[in-house]
Amino acid sequence: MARIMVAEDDRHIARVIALWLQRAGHVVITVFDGRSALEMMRQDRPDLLLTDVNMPGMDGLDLLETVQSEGLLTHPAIVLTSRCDQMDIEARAGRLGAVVHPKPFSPLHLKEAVEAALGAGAPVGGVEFQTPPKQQLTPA
Amino acid sequence: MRWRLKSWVHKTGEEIAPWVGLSLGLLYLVAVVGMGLAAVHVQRAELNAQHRSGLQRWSWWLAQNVGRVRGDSPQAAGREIRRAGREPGVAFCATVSSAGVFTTHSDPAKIGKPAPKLITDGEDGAVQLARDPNRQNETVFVVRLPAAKGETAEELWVAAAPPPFSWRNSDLVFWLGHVLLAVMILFLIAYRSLRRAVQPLAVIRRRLMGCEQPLADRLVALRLNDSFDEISTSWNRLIEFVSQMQEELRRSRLATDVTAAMDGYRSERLTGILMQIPFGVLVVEREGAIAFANRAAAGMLGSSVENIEGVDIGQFFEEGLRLSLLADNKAARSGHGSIGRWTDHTFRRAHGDITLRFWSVSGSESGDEHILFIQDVTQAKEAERARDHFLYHVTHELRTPLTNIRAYAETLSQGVLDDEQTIRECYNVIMGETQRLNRLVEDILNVSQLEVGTARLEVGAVQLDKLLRGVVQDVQGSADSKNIDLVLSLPAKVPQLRGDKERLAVVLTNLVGNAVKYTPSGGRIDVRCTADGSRARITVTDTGIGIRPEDQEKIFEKFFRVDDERVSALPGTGLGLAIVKETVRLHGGAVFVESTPGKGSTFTVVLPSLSLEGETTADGGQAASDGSAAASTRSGGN
Repeated sequence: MARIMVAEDDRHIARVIALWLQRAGHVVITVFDGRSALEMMRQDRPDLLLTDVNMPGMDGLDLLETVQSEGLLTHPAIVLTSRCDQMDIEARAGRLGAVVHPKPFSPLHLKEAVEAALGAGAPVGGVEFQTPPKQQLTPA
Repeated sequence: MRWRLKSWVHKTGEEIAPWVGLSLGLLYLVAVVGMGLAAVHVQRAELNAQHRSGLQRWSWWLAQNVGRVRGDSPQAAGREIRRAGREPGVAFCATVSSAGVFTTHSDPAKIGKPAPKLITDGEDGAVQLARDPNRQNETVFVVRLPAAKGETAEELWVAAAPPPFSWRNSDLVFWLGHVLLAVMILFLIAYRSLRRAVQPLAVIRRRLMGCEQPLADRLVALRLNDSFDEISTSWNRLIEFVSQMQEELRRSRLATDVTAAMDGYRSERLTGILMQIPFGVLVVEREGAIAFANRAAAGMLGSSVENIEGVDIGQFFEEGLRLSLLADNKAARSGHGSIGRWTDHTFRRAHGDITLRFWSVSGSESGDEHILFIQDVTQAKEAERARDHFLYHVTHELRTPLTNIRAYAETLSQGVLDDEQTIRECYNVIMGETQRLNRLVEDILNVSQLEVGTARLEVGAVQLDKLLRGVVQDVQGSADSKNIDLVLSLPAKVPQLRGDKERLAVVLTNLVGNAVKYTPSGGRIDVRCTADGSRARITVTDTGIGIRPEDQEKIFEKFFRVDDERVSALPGTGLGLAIVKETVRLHGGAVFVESTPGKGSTFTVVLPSLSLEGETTADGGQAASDGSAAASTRSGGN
């Protein structure tokens, strides 16, 4: 069981992720924007951060940067994105030790990715961080 | 005979001056008369000589005769002398005694008178030639009379008078007359033939004298109309030849002139075209000086055609660009002037950046000249950016409902849910997201149709009240979820429209939907409809975030979204208002916005309306038929 912070502005997506992770036995804290996520994390450090990129107020990557710099992460974060400039996001997220999942995603694969991330140790910040193999996570 | 005379006179008068003919005639006459007189003179001299010779011999014979008879009968001798004195050609005849006295004389008055002293001219045998000094033209033949014994010595004198000459008797006149006639005829013949020979020359001379400058144009006027002889024919042939040559020359000169003019025109025209084309053309010399720039090129470089010539290119291009264009040029030269490669460069300008695309080719074999073709790709780049922006948003917007559909469908298919409520919720989400996706696709389709101008209106009667109620009803759910008061106010008489019901529904849905989207919770939205003469006016007023004045125009542009996090956080393609504007425009109406940031916005749509009276039933019928048409279309589609 882990405590997972889900930051996603689309309520339906947040709902379905929560549904799956809760069924896997995790505790899910759902927020709909980056700033709320940051505040919540500062108060109560979760085990894992799963965030969307495009969110009102503060976007997912800014959030990731901040929490990384504040040392609030214990496991590699998971970033969801539907944006076209996926390569840039992957590069930036990679430097922050996060794994990027493009939308649309498979909830099952996302759940497995969450478990894989929880299985891994604390994320190593910086460019030398090795991004976990993607094919395992991408939908079939 | 008459025309001959006339032609003679005429032609003589015309071709040869009269005094020339007259003088020539006189000259001939004088010559002929002179020759005649000379002939007469010669004949007379001959006659004279013969006469004297005869008289000399006759004198001797007379002396013998007189000498023989004088002894017998001095009277007979005297008779003989007198008779002899009467002979033609004899002036007088006499005998002179040795004392120098006339003893007998043909003129009896002279007998006994002293004889004049004669001058002796010579002697011919027994006859002595002498002359009386007082009568020089008389030759006196002196013969000594034979004397018998006892007779006195006497001399016989016979004076020769000039021989008688009679014109009448002479056939000289006859011959002279014939000769004169012959000469006159010959003269006339000669004159005529001379005239014939001279006439063409005279005409030529006269025509030449009459011809003033420019002779070249009137060469044909020098032609001789009547071909008199070889001279005329040759002259005409010459004139013909020269005018032919002249014509050929004129034609060739004209052709040359025309060609030159055409060349000039062509080159001028081409330069004109080169100047006008919206594509920049720049000719740069090896040293970098601009040899030619058309208007577009000068404009793109921020200069003018008048000022740019001779200016160094370095004034416009930084060194890096200059070198790259020259390097490209070398490559282009080796590649036989291919202009496949280009260089884009963005220049900072006061009124905004411009991006220019350069193609560089070699202008000459030696590479002394570079030709730069310049295209202003600022707008193309802008369009590219807009398209990228659009695609960026579209894919993002498409992915969101797709993500939901996939996630929820997978959730259902995995059978991980057991409570009925959640399963229904999942189905609802899938349905909702499918509709969202559908709307999005329709928006994109609408925009692309409006963009390429293929959008067609399915025009029919539109009941505006029904339409507005339907739109408000559709949006009501989302308004309620944000606790927004959505109020629709309709007048007693709602204007009827002619238009595309579906597209107008999209217009109104977009406007009311936007109002709901950008109005914070607890706000209010008023949808009003008023009839304004022949126009229907629909206003949508919200208490939303408002629009900055500088954005109020731009929000109707395709893909534009206000750069505000309150906007970017909300889904949207930036197409809604572009669709509104274009659709309203197609209906002959207009859309306006008034807004105060932070307080709210009012969108006003004005559409042309139909008159209300007596159309209600017809409209109802039409609406029904519209409905059936739609139904049949649908069934046909299936």
